Parts: sequence; C-alpha cells; structure tokens
Amino acid sequence: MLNSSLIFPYDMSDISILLHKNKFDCEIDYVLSLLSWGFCSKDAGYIFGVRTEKTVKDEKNFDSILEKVDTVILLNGTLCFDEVEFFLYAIKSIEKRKNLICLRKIDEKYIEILKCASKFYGVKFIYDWQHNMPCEISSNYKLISPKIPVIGIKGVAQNTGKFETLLSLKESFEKIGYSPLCISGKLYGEFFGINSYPMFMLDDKISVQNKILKLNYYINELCYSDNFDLILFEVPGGLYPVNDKVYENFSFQNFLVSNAISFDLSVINLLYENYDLNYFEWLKVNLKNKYSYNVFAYIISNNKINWDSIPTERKASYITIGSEYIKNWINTSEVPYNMCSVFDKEMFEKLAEELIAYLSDENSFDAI
Amino acid sequence: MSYPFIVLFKTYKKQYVYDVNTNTILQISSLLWKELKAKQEDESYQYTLAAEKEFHELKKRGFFLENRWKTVRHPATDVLPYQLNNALSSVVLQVTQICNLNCSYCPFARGNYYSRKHSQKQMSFEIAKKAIDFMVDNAINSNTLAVGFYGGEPLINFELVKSVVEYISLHYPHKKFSYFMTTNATLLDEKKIGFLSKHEFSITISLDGPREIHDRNRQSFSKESSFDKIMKALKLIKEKFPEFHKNIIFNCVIDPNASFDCFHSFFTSYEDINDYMCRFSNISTANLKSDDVTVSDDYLTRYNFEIFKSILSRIGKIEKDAVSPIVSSYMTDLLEVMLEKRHYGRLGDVGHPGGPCIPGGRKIFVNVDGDIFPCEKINELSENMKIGNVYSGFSMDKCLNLLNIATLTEAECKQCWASRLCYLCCLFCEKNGELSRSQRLSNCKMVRQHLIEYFKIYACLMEHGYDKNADWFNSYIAE
Repeated sequence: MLNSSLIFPYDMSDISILLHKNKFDCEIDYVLSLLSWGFCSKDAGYIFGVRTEKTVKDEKNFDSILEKVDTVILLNGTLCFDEVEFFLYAIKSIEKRKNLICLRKIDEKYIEILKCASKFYGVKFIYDWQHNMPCEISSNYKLISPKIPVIGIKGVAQNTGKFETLLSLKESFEKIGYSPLCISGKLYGEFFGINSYPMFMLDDKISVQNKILKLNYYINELCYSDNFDLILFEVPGGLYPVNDKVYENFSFQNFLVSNAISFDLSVINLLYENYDLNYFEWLKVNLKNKYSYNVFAYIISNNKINWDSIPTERKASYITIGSEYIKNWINTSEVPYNMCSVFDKEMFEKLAEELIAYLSDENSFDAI
Repeated sequence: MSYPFIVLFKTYKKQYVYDVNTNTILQISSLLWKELKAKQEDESYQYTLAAEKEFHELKKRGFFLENRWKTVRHPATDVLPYQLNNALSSVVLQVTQICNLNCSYCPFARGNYYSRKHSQKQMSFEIAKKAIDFMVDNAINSNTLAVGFYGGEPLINFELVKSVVEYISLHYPHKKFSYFMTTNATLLDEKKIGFLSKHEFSITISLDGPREIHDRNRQSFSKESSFDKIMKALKLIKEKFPEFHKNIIFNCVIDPNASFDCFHSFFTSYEDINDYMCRFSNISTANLKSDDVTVSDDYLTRYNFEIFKSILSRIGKIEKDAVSPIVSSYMTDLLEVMLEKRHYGRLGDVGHPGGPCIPGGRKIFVNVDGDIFPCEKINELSENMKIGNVYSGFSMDKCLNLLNIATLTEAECKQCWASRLCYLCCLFCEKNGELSRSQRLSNCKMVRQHLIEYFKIYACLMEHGYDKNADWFNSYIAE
C-alpha cells in the first residue's frame, strides 16, 4: 500500500474511491477540487447525500497540501480541465518528489516528460494501466462457460453507478465469505483488486469474432488462476440510447460480452425516473430477448436525465438526486422486483445474500 | 357506452379524432365520426351497429378510453429541489432598467403594461457577482453555463457587463461559460463590439423592419432614427469584426398594422441585413392594459397565404425558398408540437397540463434588485412570480406553486382534451400581480383553437404524403 496521498481534481464521478477507501490500495488524506466546479468546502459526498468524512478543498491549497503527502493521484473527472494545466500539476508534483498516479489519458509527449522527470527525481510514476494477460488464441479455440456463476452488472445508459455497484457487491460477498473475481472497465479498478476490462475489446483493428473469443479466453484464464466462487462482471457502456438523438456509447460492448459469456444473473443499473411496473417488465423481457440477460435486480442510481437540457446541449446531462430520496422511492414503490439504492450498503448486503440463495438453489439441480 | 376522452376534427378529405388517453390522432370512418358527433350533442343518441363495431374495435386496441387524471400534479414536483440546487444552467441579468428608446409596445415603456416600467435603477456589481456565485453554487451538474444580459438597454450599463465577464474569467476558469445579450444596438461602438466579439457573445438585436416601421415603433427620446444607428453598427461589424457577424440574430416584433409585403421584402432583400438570421414574433399581449392590438386584413390574408405556401413546401409542391421567412417558425412550432412534444403513452392517474417550464430548468432571471424570477417575460412587480433572491436563495413554495400552476383550474384541466398539449404557463395566469383562475381560463379557448388548427394542418400534411423522416434527412444532407 502506498502512503498518504491527495486526489485531484475531484468531481463526484470518483466518489467510489472515497466510499470504499478501506479497499483502495492507497491512503487518501486530502481531496482537492476546482473552485469552479462547486464541490469545495463541502463533504465530498454532499451532492449524493452520503458522508465520506472528507471535506473538499480548492486548488489554491494544492501547494501547501503537496508538502504533506507522499503521493498525488490525478483523476480523470468528467468536467472540463485543460490538458496542459493537468500536466503542470503533474510535473509540479514530481518536482516536489511525490509519487504520481495518473488516472487520465494524456498526450504521449506529456507522458514521456513525466517518465523522464520521475526517473530524475527518483519517484514512482504509475500510468500504464493495462496489465491484461496476453491472450493470443489459436484458430481451434472454442467458447467455454466459466466453471463458476457469472453475475453481470449492466447499465441502461452511462452514469448509472455500475462501478459503485460492483464494489458494494464485492464487499458484500466478501463479508459473507465468498471470493468474487471482479472485472471492470474503470481505469483504477486495479487499486481495488479488480481486473481491467481488456483493452483489445476497444481495439478497432480486432475483428468482432476475435474479440468475443479472446474475451472468453481472458475470463476463463482469470477464473482458473485462483479459487474464486463467482464472477462479478461490470460491462462498459450502456444498454440503450438515451433517446433518438443522444446515444452515449450504447449496446456494442454488451453485444460482444453477451456473446462471449453466458451470465447466470444480471443486475441492471438505472438512471432515476418515476418508473412504473410496465417499464420494469418491458426491460426484463427486452434484455432477455436482446442479450439473453436474466434480470435479478434493479439498482437505482442518483442521476436523473435533465431532459430540459437535451435540446440545447445535444448530449445527456444529469440532475443528481439525494440518496434518501432514492431510498424512499424504492421503499414506497410497489414494483415487485429486487431493488437497491446505489449508495445503500445494507440493501446490497441483502441483495448479495439473495443472489447466493438463488444461485445455490439453482446449482443444486445442476446436471453433470 | 359512455363517451370516450376524445376531440373530433376533420379536414376537407377525412375525419379524425384526437384520443387523449393515448395522445394519438386516429383517422376514423365518416360514419363513426358523424355518430360520435351526434352522441356528443345528444347523450341519448344510439350508435348504429356498424359504428358500434368500429368503436369496439378501437377500444379493443386500447383507444377510446374515458380515463382522466385523478390528481393534477407536475411530474417534476418531487425532484424540483434537486434541479434547483444542482442543475442551474443559465442566468439572465437585468443590468439596468434604463433604456434610451421609448418603444410603443415595450413592456417597460409608456405605461402600456401592468407589469413594469422603466426606472433609473441599475444593477450593482455586488448583486451581479452574487447572482453568478449563486448560479455556480447551484450548477454542479451543468458543464456549461450561460449568462445573459438584459435591460432596459444593457449597453447603458456596459461597464457592469465587462466587470461580470472579467469576474467570471478570474474566479471560474474551469467552468465553460457562454454569453448572450438582447440589445437595441443603438449604443454599439467599436470598443463595445470588440469586447463582445472577443468573448463570443451571442447577440439578439431588435429590428422591426424597414426604417419607417422600425423608427415608428422604436422611437428614441431624441427623435433620432434608431434604424440608422443599427445600420451603422452593422456596417462597423462587417468592416472590423466580420467573424462576429455569425453571432448576431435579429428579433423582429411584427407590427400587424403594417403591410406584410413590406416586412417580407425588407428581410429578404435589404442588402445590409439579408444574410443574418431573423426571428419573428408578435406583440406580447400578456399584461397589456388595453386590448387594441389589431391586425390589418392585408397582413392576415398574406400571413395565412404564406402558411398555406409553407404547407405546400413541406409536401414538396413548391421550393422552401418561395416561402416567406416570416412564417417559418409557425411550421417549426407545429411540427415540434405534433412530432416531438406529443409523446405517446397512457394518461396516468397523476399528471399536469403542458405549459409550465420548470422554474430554473432552463434559466433564471435576476432583476436589478437581485430578485429571482422564472424568466424575463414575466411581471416583476408580482410577488407570486418572485421565486427567490440571490442572497436568500430559492423560495421553494413559490417555485412549486408556479410549476403546478394548473392546480388553479384543476377541475377544468382534468376534463380538457387539450391538457396534454397545453402551453399555458404562469405568464398566462397572472393579472395585476395575482395568479388568477379566471385569467388562466380566459386563455383556454385560444389554446384549444390553436391546437385544432395544428391538428388539421398536420392531418392535411399527412394526407398529402408528408414524411417527417424524409424532411429531416433532406435537411441533414443539405447541411
């Protein structure tokens, strides 16, 4: 584990690092953001209505806090932050002899400079995230099902809290003694002991068929590398477009993954809306027909599409809703499906138990 | 059989119903149409067997239900606090109430309107700064923020405009901002244009047509021609800031007493302005003290003829260029209502008529005193419209009240076939500062007439082979 660190520039998309900090492979002491973004001087979980016990400080404190830490973690974030400025913060950190973990893809020329500088100042510079096992496969490779149950975590769209769901389920399973193999598209998943979604899945030069076969191989190889009890697989991208004008990276990765591997069960992350039963039923049938997904539970995120902004922005923007509201909506909903609020640990613990109960029951009838 | 929740209308060729429960327009047989009409007029009327068969067939397919809302409540009610606290995206600052013109139909001038009057008040930098801070604090979810400058005439307080832009650049460098201004352009000079151009302002210039019409309605206190000043400014832009020209659009308030052809030829062939975008609007009648806005016969005849031509252009019978730009927004609005806003989906137990914007959803308007209003069009003198203050924040009760404005007329709205497509926001419900049930109801007839007109034109377009996708696809290729 690395020593004390600061994370910067913080926005709410990185809240999981703070909510699961005991599982994160680095001690986080300080959270810094940019004054313009509106998070400063509040608890980092304020907008979601959750507590992280970390008050966000603004960028003017960067230099003074830098003196107190060993490591700087530069985050990707979803808000605008100029690449040159980002680089200047990175080089300043190295010059002050701090280890640097860079979680944003930046231009190669900056990477080269940072590599040289880190060597010169004798500090660690962690940037290369893809540690996937090589998986060259021969032409006679066949698709095989993993030996353990596979639970998929999929989102109807982007920003539905899939990574937070993965971490909460992982923790809940571990708490009751199970060892899950986890796969996620999140860049810093490895800090939580989570395997990366392989880079070849996003490589345009690899054919669709090869991606499917390689992914199948990759999962089985991970699966046989240790004694796991089940697989938790967070699939990148969304399942559906937001509407007929806003698409947000939908469907293709789910198409590939659903062909590479059979999921025993799926939990589906949703953006918040005041849904009625018809929607959940439609979703269940459609996901079964489209991707062969068996829906076991719905996870309600704290983001709601800001429909008012779509005509002007031509992309999805969101309204963040407080966790108490989401929890209350779930508790008063008459929908007869398993549902969790994305930030509610107790709900996830219960869900993990129900998943195990269902899978155990199902496995007891397995033909051999 | 009880009467379904529908409204009947017909075109020259065919008969239709608008089915409220499904938000669908259905073409039906002339027999059923006549019998539904007869039943509407006389409850004891008995359907013939053939009509009854068609009726039941439609019912079997989910149409012709009688359901009404049980409760009138806006769907955004519960999440409104989150929207206001996290997702503001635009603020319009009333930088001054002073204006150098004395326009005949301006809500501020001449005392023609109940809502407002020009005064000597200017917004202070403290209030402007607080308004910007307030927006940023409540905009965590918004990547891009917009700041508008409004008056009076905002160029009169140009120093404040500059200070606000400088304050934002200095304090909020990591948030994207865009700027816009509505101005009469008479005070534009090279320095001001240079500043506006540098910061990529979008500018709306009020221009009401050729010199004689514009100067008649937009008079300066000094009796100088405001038209000539605008032309001078445009010339300056063309010479010194040619790139800035794309950021300018004109807003033309149509004087319905003038000749239609006069507007048309001006906006299509007057050399200095014909390559600018132009938006046309009618004189606002909301809060007007007298109702003497009359439309000349000549204007009305030509206007309707141009709408007819615009229908012909949509079905490919004439070129789009042959239609006057003055009516272009009519067809755009119609198609937006019929194709974009007419969501399919069942009428639930709880709903709210269309119309009200979500307060703060698209913008907030901050007046010279720092009071917050839903937009710049409403009556600032009304306490009911004041939804907060930049120092004390939003008054959630008032925001919710304006959002759920149809509770004023709940009983009528539940029974009204036009509710789902209604456009009556709080602007239509306010008189003398009060939100009034009778004021809202006084506009209902207009909404229903307007929608029936839209239905008929839309049905007519479809009868003649209008293809919305082809229309979109062709404009996409043209782009």
